[in-house]
Amino acid sequence: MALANPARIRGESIEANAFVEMAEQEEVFAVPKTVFTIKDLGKKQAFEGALSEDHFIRQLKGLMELS
Amino acid sequence: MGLLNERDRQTLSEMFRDLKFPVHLDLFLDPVQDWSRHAQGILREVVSLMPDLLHLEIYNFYKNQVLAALYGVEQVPTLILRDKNEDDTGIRILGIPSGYEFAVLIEDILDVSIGRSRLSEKSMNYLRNLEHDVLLQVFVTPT
Repeated sequence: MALANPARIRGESIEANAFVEMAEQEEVFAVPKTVFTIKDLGKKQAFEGALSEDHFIRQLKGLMELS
Repeated sequence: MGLLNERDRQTLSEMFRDLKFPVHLDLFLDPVQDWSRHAQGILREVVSLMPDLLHLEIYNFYKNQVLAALYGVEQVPTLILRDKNEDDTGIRILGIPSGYEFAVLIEDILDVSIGRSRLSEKSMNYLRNLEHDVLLQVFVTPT
């Protein structure tokens, strides 16, 4: 995803055990957990489990459109 | 002592035959932190399998604060992938690249080197035209 638009998208893969504080802050109880953040809109949404490409894009569109 | 066993090394060497263009791996670390040292050890072994195309740079996070800020690095160890033009790909791997994250690392290196995407053209078009910055964080565990 990041490769599609590196200027806009940052994709982080985070090892939850090494970053316990971060994982606690994002309430990671099960993995994988994906957190979308659009900072300049003040939007954040999280999903547990694997996400399909379609689902992923739909969620991102939804977040953008709510602005 | 190697962190990768002989079978891993062989598998990786075969996968790396598909590499096309150079990939720059920048690791920000804390030299006295165990996690950082472990991440460094694994990455050194990985790049040693294809030294012509995989370039690893190690940065002490505390001595390279300006560069770290430029890349938005706030935690260690953090790995940044840059492409053949040395441009930031937006890809970050936080923590030790072992287990599940090791697979992520290898796939990401291949994607960057080959310039491939596994997304549909429709998704690519949408992502290319985003009007806001997006941070996608995927939390994983090694197993």
